[in-house]
Formats: sequence, structure tokens, C-alpha cells
Amino acid sequence: MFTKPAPIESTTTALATIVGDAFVLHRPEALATYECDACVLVKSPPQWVVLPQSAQQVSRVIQWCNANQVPYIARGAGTGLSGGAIAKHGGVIIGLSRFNQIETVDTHNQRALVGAGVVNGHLNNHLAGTGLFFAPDPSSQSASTIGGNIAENAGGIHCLKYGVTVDHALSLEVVLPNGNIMWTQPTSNPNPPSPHSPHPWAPGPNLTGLLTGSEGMLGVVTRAWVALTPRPKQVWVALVSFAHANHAAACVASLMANGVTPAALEFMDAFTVKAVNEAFDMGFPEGCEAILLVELDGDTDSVAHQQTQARHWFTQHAALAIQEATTEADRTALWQARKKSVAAYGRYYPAFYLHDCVIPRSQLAPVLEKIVAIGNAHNVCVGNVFHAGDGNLHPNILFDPKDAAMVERVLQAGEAMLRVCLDAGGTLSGEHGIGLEKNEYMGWLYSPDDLAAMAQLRCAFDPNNLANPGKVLPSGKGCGENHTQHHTTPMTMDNPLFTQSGAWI
Amino acid sequence: MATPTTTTLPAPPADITLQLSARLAKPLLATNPVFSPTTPQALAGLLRACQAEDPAQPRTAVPTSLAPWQALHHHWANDHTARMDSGIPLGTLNQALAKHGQWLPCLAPPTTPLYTLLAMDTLPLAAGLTPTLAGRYPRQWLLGMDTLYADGTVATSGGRVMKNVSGFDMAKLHTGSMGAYGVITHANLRLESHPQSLGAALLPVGTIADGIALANRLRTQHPSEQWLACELVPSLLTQPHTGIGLSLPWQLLVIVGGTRPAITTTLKALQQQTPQVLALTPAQWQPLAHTIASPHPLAIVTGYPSDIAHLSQVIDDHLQTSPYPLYSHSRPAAGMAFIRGEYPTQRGPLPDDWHHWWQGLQATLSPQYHCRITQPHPCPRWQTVIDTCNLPNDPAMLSLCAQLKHQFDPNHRFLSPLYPITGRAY
Repeated sequence: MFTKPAPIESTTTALATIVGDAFVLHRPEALATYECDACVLVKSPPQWVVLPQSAQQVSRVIQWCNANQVPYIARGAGTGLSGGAIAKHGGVIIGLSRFNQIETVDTHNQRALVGAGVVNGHLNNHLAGTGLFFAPDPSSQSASTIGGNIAENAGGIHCLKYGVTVDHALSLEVVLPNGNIMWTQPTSNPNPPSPHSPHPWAPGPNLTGLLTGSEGMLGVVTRAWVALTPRPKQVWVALVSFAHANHAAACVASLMANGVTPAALEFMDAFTVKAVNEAFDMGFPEGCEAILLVELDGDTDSVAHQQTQARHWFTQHAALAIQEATTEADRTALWQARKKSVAAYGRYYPAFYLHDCVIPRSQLAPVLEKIVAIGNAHNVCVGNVFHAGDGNLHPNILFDPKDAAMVERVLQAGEAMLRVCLDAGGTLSGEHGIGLEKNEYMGWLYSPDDLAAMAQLRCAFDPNNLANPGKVLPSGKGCGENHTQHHTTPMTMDNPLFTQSGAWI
Repeated sequence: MATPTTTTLPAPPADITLQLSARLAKPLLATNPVFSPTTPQALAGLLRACQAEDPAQPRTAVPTSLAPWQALHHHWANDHTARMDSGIPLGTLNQALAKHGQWLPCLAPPTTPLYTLLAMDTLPLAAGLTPTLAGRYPRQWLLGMDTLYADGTVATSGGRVMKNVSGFDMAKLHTGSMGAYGVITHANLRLESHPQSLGAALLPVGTIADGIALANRLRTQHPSEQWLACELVPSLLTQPHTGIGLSLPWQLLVIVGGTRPAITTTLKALQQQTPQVLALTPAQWQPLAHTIASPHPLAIVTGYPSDIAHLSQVIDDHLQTSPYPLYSHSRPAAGMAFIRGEYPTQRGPLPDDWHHWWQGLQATLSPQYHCRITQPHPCPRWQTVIDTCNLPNDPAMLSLCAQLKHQFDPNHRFLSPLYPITGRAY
């Protein structure tokens, strides 16, 4: 696929000329850190890792890669769950950890200029006292970077109300695959950035939106203007127990269909409730087989109005118990049930395989039933803890990686679950990305013409096919192969993409 | 503004450039009969037939209307989503959605085709006070779309679920591109529950600065999800629509949605800010809202909320020198101002003083603000002004846009007058 790269020594020297000796890694022990991201069971080390500190350096690295036909992969903190930062074909990983400056916080205009390597949680710590926050909150936010969030279009618990990363990206500084450096919105004075530019509303294609979620295949984002959101005045959390998963699922549909817009609406199924209760003695009521965590926020009047509506629907759907919290300490205590669920799975099996499909939320009850049935049919344990408000399922299939037969059953069950979700009008991934975990399933969702259009977009940006190759599009969907018949290759034993306990969901 | 006669061509020419623009339902530049394909398949067939033609041959620009595409195909009310044709007028859509208490939260004129909202990517009224810059753009309602490309193929992107990172989001290529790369044929949208009630009021102010200061006070002291709009409008616009005699030259128009008691509370709070607050009936505020939310201003000028007072004053000062009846209004929370009015001529050359005035405005605004001309005029000299205002000033972006055009529409079947770089060879 790619021509043989230049010899290690001369290449290392060439890259060191661009970023400095100390910021080129090429020894095996140093590269081991970069051989995978949070998809820990698929490993493919790069030949080099470079750690540039300016867009100009990134541009020169990319130009060198183009000249030598070497693939390059942008990487943030390596917390991605779909293998998007894995050097599938080797090449150069461009680590963005040195882009860690919060350059400007413009409170009046509710925006900030940050480097791609700024950790999501660090930005929010920095904003303490301003009355503003950066809304995307993936579970990895204490480690994942803004650049990584942009590359994957990360979501999170509160994106139900506040939107995913693309809804908060105003303009991106991107190094294009031809080495050009560009802001995605026109600007009169890009460098240094003036307070008047760049503006998110401008003519032409929405390049900010196109780049966000493109998994580093259309360019490398180095800095970003992001939108900041006013902190809500009032927050209310309820942990609601149900005797049946169907009751909880129906309650979700009723809440959303009747105009209640929670900031977060999370679901835990019977297996997860049992696991959390056994591990941490959470004191859930007898007979509790499902839990909803509901968070409302906003101005005082709005929260009060929605509380009344929410309580009505909890009762209508036969809630066993409702625990409410308005203080921060009480809210934190209620959220522990959700946050400890993944750790509780570790008492049963050492690893789990996590899916991220999204379905229309009216389909929650029937799809959950089918997922449980699939788990039973394949004799595997499945725990469901997920973002119910937007229909973003996270079935966690537990297993022992040393048990080959079990691994095979897990793979089959996972495929069956994907089928069920797509049949219900759903999609492959809501927030984790496609990466190399699900790219061969894209043909299940899209027609050859649909995929050809995506390949054309890729060609417009990267005709050399060197920016993070082998991701998102199915094998063979490169430039020059538009409108050709696509054949899917299902996941096989030698290509499992498992997630171990402690990963972000 | 005169609307040209719309005629369905019995047999469209075999080799054409489709003059797709945001005004597909009302092509201002129509010098030829309007082609109104009854279905996307009919248009696809035409495009496929064009593939056999020599792209170097001179072609006829055919204004193409999507007006016949008005069906609402599915409304999944429990999911707050719907699938529809792209030509459906906003009023038709919201009337159908209202059966289940839902709407597309946009106060643009009911005749506005959805295509216009998506292809222009306008920030419509009902954007609310907060959040500001990342407010409700039409692109944020889009869950998925079908697009007809220049080779006659139709491709789907996205879906009908609330979150989706499966593949590249092709919808982002087409929102805002004025039909430069393809024709949006269907859209899947996220919907919202319609507020129990809508209310509106005018808060008279003496100067632009006073109006912006009041808007900022409201934004910081009463941030509420009930706010749907807050717009600074001149009396010459409000008086004809509301029939109310106004002694002060500017008014802040505030529109809120929510329960009836909540709206009453909000209007009382506004009275505390300024005792002269005037509550409006729907018959008074709706035509006014439709005018200021119309997607066809002459120009949109963008700054930031922090400099909207300066921006608005600069424009108003320049308007005082205009030999033609133009007016402006501002959207403080979005940092945007709009210039509206009529061209002095619809067909013939624009007068010299018109050109001088616009070039003077552009020189005054640049480079601090971005002024975008949204209504092209057939006069060739006007193209210079459009280019100055609309073209990105970044060579890297121009180069990328050229690559996109080359990839998706190499033979320039789609003329996109509001995005002029795509209408020429490069």
C-alpha cells in the first residue's frame, strides 16, 4: 500500500531537524506506549513518534511524509475506544501533547482558544469562577484532549441537552494533508488571533463540522476556538428504581416525548444494578431491575416545571423508589451508582467488549429485550449502562480473554447486537468513532454510493491517502475506487477490538 | 420584488448548468424558464444525461426549483425526528408537526423552503439569547440527508438518531454551500416540543448603544431557556408591522416561549427594566419576526457580541449616507447585523452611486468585520463587490474549496451564485 519508508537513521535525523532531537521517538521501548490507544488488544507500533509544538512543525512533518509516502496519525491522549490512533500501517504518529496551552478565554463572547493537546478537564478547571464551562464531557475527560474530542466528535453524559463536540467547535486551526495551515472559518488576522476572528458564521461549506469527527483523516487539528456555555443556575438529580427494564425504557420515551429535556438521562439494567449493589452495597430497593439517573438543569422556573413533569412520568411508569438530590454532595452520591458500574463488572470477568450503537429512543424497550436474548443465546454476560436519552446503547459483553471459545461467542454476540440496532433504524457509533474497530461494518449501514461520496471527500482533502489510513472507510475505499462495489469483511478472531475494564464509556 | 414566471420545461436541454441557489423556489436571476423537476429522480435523470455531453461546450443556465418537493415522509413523534423533502416550506412543515406538539424552532417566514435554511445555513430567529455563538444553526437540527450529486447518484449520510459518528458527516459539506456540490433532496431533522405559548414585547430605546446595553443586561441578568429571540430593530420597521406609534427610534424585540404563567412573569421582569415595554399580539409580532428572520437580506455582517454596538453604529452611520432606502437590524447575542432593502433595478445595470456606496461600506467594515452579500444581482459590475465581500481571504481555503468542487462537480453542473468561487473556472 505504501512505499518502503526511508532508512530509520536518516528519517530520524530528518524529523529531528523539524521538531528537535528530544521530540523524535524511535526506540522500541519508547514506541511501545504508542502501539495502541484504548483499544488495547490491537497493537501496531509506529516507526516514529514526533512531538511538535507548532502548526508549522506539523506542516513540515506532513510535507516530509508526503514526499516519502509515509502514513501519519495524529494522537491526543490515546483514550479513543475505536482504534482511531493506532498506526495500522506504521508510519509517524504526530503526538499533540505539547499543544497544551489555554491561550484565550473570552468570557464576554463565551469562547476560548485552546491547543489541541489541552485536556478537557483542565479546561474546565481553568474556567472555574467564570460561570462558564466547556460542555462536552466524555467519561475520559480527565485525560482526553480537546483535539481528541474534536477528532472523534466526542459526546458524554450531558450531551443530551448540550450537544456533542461539533456543537461547541467554532473554528479549527488545521494542517491539511497538503501541508497548508488553515483556519476553518475565514479570518482577517489569524496569527496571532484577533478577538474579532474567526467567526463561526461564514459562507461556504461547514469545514469546522466536516473536520470534527473525521478521525484525523482530513487533516490534523492543532488549535481550536471552542464555545463556552453558561453554568446552569439550578441542578436536580433523581435516581429512579424500576422493577422491570421495560418500565424504565418506557419512562425514557415518555419523558422525552412530553417535552422534558434532561441534561442527562442514564440507564442501568438488571445485571449492572446487581453488580453495583454487590460490589458497593448501594442499597437499591428490593426487586430493582433497572435504574434511571435523571439530571435536570437550567433556570429555576424551568427546572421546577420539568421536575413536576418528570415525577409524574416516574409514577406513571411504576417507579419503585425515587431518590432526589439538589446539593452537590447529594448529587455526587447518586451519580456514584453510574460511575462505579464499569468497575463492578470486574468482579465477574477481567475484560469486556463494548459497543456504542445508537437507536431511535422509542425502540429502547424492544432492542434491550433482544440484546438480553442475544446474550443468553450466546451464553455471555451482558451489562447495559448507557445514555438512554439519546438512545446511545453501551452493551458491555463480559469475557475472559484467555477463553478462546468465549471470545468467539462474544464476537458473534456483538455482531448480532449491531444487526439488531441497525434493523431498528440505528447507527454503528454515537460517540466512540468508527476507527478500525467498525470500518468493515460500514457496508451494513451505507450503500456503495454513500461510501463513494465519503471516499470522494477524503480524496479532496488527502489524495495521497496518508492521513490516518485504514480507518473509517471499509478496506478498498481509497481514492480512485469510487463507485465500486463494496464487500464487507466481518470482524474475525485475529482482529478483535476489545476494551478492558476501566475504559471510558 | 418581482417574481419571475415559473414554467415547467417540457423537455429540459440535454446539457445544462443548473442554477441552484438558496432561492430555488424564487430564482431572482431567472432569464430562462424555470425547470421544476417533479422528483429527485427526474433531476437525477437529467444530470446523468448530461454526463455524455462535452463539458467544454457553452451551456445554458437553467434556474431549477425544488418547489414540487414538499412531502413530509415520516414524523417519528416519539423520537422527536422527521424525514421530509428538502423543498418543503417551513410553514407547511411546522403545521404538520404541530399535530404532535412539535416544531422546527425557527421564526423565518412560513414560505421559506427548508432547502433555503439548510443550504444557506442561516442563523434564524429563535436562536435564543444563550448560547450565543454556538446557537441553534439549522445544521444542528440535521441528523441526516440525501444528496443528489452531479453524476446523478444519490447518497445518504447520517441517519435518524440523535448521535452519530458513523463515517464522515457529509451534511456538513452541503450546509452553507448554496448547492455548490450537490442538491439536498431529503433531510432528517431533530425536532423540539413547541412551547405551550409564545409571547413578544417591544422595549423602546433612544440609541443603538442603549439597545445593545439593554440586551446585554437581559442576557446576563435573566438568562433563560424561554428566550427565543432578542433583536434590535428600527422604528421604520416596527411601526408598519405593529401599527404602534413609537417615539423612540429603536426597539428591542423580545420573543419568549414557555408556559403562560412563565411568559407573564418574564414580561413583568421586562417592565422592571424599562417601564415603556409594549406587549405585542401575535398579529403584531409575527409579521415583524418574519421580516427580520427572512433569509434574504442584502447583506449579513458578522462580528462578536462584544463589538455588536460598534458594528451596528458603523452600519447605521453608513446607511445615513445611502441614496437608497435601506435599513439594518442587529442580533446582539449572535454578534450579527443585517442590511435589508431593494435593489434599485432588477435587471439593468446598477447605478454608480449604488456601487460606490457598497464599496464604501465594505471599506469601512473591513477587515474588522465580515460582510457577506447574500443577494447577487445580474449586473456584472456587482460581481466585484460580491467577490470582495464573500470570498474567503485565505489561499489555503480557496485551494481546498477548489479541490472539493473538482471532486464533486468537476463539470460545474451546479452554479451557486451565493458562493461565487464555484461559478467560475480556476
